[in-house]
Parts: sequence; structure tokens; C-alpha cells
Amino acid sequence: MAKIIVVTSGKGGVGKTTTSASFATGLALRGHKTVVIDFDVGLRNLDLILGCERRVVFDFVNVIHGEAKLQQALIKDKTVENLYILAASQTRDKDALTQEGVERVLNDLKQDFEYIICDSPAGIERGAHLAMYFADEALVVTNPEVSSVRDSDRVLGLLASKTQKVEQGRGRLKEHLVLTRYNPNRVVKNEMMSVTDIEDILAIPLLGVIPESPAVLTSSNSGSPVISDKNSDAGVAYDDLVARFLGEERPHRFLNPEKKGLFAWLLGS
Amino acid sequence: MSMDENKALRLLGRVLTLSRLRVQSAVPQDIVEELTKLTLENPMLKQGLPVIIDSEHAIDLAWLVKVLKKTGIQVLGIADGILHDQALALDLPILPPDHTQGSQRQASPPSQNARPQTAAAALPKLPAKMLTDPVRSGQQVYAEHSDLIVLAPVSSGAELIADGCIHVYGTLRGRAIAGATGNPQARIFCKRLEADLVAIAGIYMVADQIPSQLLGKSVQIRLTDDGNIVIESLE
Repeated sequence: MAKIIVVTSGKGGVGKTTTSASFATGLALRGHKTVVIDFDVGLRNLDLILGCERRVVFDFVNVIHGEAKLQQALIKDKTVENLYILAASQTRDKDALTQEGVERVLNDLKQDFEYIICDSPAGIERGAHLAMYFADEALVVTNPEVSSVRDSDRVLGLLASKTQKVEQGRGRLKEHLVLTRYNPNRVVKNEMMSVTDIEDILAIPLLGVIPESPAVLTSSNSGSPVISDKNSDAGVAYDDLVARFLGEERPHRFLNPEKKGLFAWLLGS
Repeated sequence: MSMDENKALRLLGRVLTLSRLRVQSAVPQDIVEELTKLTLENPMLKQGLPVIIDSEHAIDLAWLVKVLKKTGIQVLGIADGILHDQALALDLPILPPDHTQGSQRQASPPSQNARPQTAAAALPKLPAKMLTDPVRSGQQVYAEHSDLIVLAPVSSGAELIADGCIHVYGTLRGRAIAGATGNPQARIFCKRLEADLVAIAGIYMVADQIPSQLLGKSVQIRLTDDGNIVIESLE
């Protein structure tokens, strides 16, 4: 039975697309047929992050409006078997999405795929609403920063009330906290909220902590998801996250400041 | 969600502060004299201050409204009591009576006194509304005719409203508005106070005004006899 997972946050720029790309890639690398859909109509980014921006012919909106078949719009990833991308339209806007259209496309995708990842746009308007509406589970991406936490909290309220599963009384969405851009050095100095502070406020289970990392920018520039950079802390953290999602027990890393070796300390790095 | 803005009507839970104008004499000249004194001392009365008339005396309501109107005071309604029938005739809204006056009613004709007492006693009290999931930012909960009990954290930006008391057995970070229909006996209890705003029967206190030594503590919040909010530690 296919699972629909929304990656949402409320706040913009916290790492939804970065997380969607790495999360979908991680699932596909472990043998699960996965499709990731960009719901940010007009401001699409997922195709850039996954390096397929030069292969987009038809998009999600085309399929909804019957202008193209789903098979024509789905882009197969060049490096990862099992991974497919459905890009958003860049020329239209969010009004081009309809609830019936989205439902139809998702039902079609459920026939072939194990995991359907919906990369939500920022905000709580139509695009975000439709990205979460049909979901079974949610990854709530949050930065350790007050406005992001409050926005995530708002989104959690919406996930618990304005989704089809809840409206039809079929239970609740499973919510997972993904803390991104975490910097333990600043946490220790009391400049940044800690994991426990955020867990206290949001009260949902922690799926993973992704450290602030230069690898994220490098990866997006090269059009490959950061999880593919096995030498980076962020890449490894995303890999841990996917493993945990699939039921493996992995301790959380990158929560404490790195202990510098003697040499590093002497050289003042 | 912007979807709400397409509806023709919307019910918003906003707390308003109104003043009660208590009539303590049945003698018209005394009333006019006192009114003149009041308007001299309080210039804002002339600027359309909205009031609810609260009287135990069977004065001529139509006359009083006219006199107040001339001063600039706007009568929005009456507190239920001896003026009930006159208010109905004048099409003036009738609001719940002031509960603190329960035991101190002055000696007006006893038969007419009976009505305000029974009106206060007749307020239906349902079993408490109980919530076990976190109340998230932007969510609003209204416990009508009852107390509200929350067994989970209440986020900043969330609103708890109850006609009775509010109990939060967790951290209260949002707004708690108790005694929403005017019951000053209502209280707010919470395990950890970090509220944005607390209010009882329309009297409110914002986060800035909460004494810092009480933040993060288990407290009860109530109204004193003279209508001030007081927060007391339960630890």
C-alpha cells in the first residue's frame, strides 16, 4: 500500500526541498520505488536540487489539466534507480492546482509507487494545503529558531485538522520532526534553541537532526541531493534519518560540539 | 486559511472591555448631578464611552438613556435585573447580571429582586470540556457553559476560551480567557505559566505585565473583589 508523505514547515527557506530530495533519494537507494512531487507552482526548485531541470517537458499542472499523461511528465533520475520526479509548473501559479486533480494524480501514482513524497511550498495557502491534504505521514522541517518553531506549530495544527485522513475520521497523520541547520556550538553558547527546547514546544517525535553544513549549498549547486555526499555531515545525517524512518535504530549524531583534536586547537582552526 | 474570508459571516472570539454604569439611586436629580460630576472628572465619557447600565432601582430607562446620550455616553445594553422589561420594550440588549453582586442586593421590592438571583443561578453548567492533544498556534477552543481542562501544552498563538474556569495541566504559552460571558468567579490554573495573555470576565493582563518571578511557575489566576487580576503561585 503506497504511502504519501508530505514535507512541510510553514516557514520558508528551512530545508523542505533539500529534505524532500535527500529523503526520496534515500528511500529509492534502499530499493523502494519512490516519486517526489514539487507542489510549489510558479517557484519550482525541486528540479534544480535533483539536477533534472534540463529534462522537464511536462509538469504536474499539465497532468492535472489533462494536457499530458503522467508517464510523459515523470522524470526518471539519472543516477538513482527507483527514483522519479514530478516537477511543478513554472509559468502558472497555485490556482492551477485543484483538489480533484491532485487526488486523481496521487491515486494514479499509488498504483506504481511505494512512497510518494510531496514537497510542500512555504506558507499555509492552497499549495501547502493541497500538498498535505492527502498525506498519511508528515515530515515537519524546522530550524532551531523562534519564528520557524511557531510556524511549524501552526502547521501541526493544520495537519491535525485540515487533512483528508482526519476529516474522514480515519485516524491522524503520523508527524515527524526534522530539525535542520542545527549548530551545536551556538546551542552551547545559548544563542540557538536546543533539541530539547524544540521538542518541548512542538511535542512530536524527533526523526532527525541535520547539522548546518556547507555541503548543502555545494550539493544544490551540483544538482545532486546532499545525501549522496557520503563524506558530509549533512549527508550522513540524512542517511540516518531515512534509516530511522524505515524502522532502524540509529543514535542521533551531530548534537554536540565537535571535540577538536590537539593539532586543530593549536593551529587555531 | 484565506478560505475563511470567502464566508459571508464569521464568528470571532474577541474580548471587549465595556464599562458598567451602576445606578445607585432612584432619584433623577441625584442621577443628573452625579452624571455632571462624572463627566467633568472623566472627559472620555463625552467621547462615546460604551456602557452597560446596571441598576437595582426601577428608574425610567428611556429617560436615563436619553440623558446619557446627551452627555455622549453610548448605552449598549443593560445588565439583567429590574430593568429587564423596560429594556425589552426599548429593544436594548440584555446581558448577564454581575455575579459579584449576588449577596449584596439592596432592598428593592423583594419580588423584583428575585429575578436577578434566579437568572444567575440558572446559568447551565455542562461537564468540563477536556482536551488531551496539544493546542497548536492559531487554534481556538471555546468551552461554552463549562470549564475547560487541557492535559497537553498550549502553544503561543493558541486561544483557550471558557465560560467557566480554565485548567492547563501543562505549559500555557497562548491565551487563556476564562469567564468569557462575564463570570468574575472564574479562575485560570496552569502547571507552567508562559502565557501571551490571560483574562477573566473581560479583565485582561498581557505577558509583559505578568510578574517575572511567576513565569514558568504553577499558578492560579483570579479576580480580586475590586476587579483586579491577581496571579498566585501554587508551588
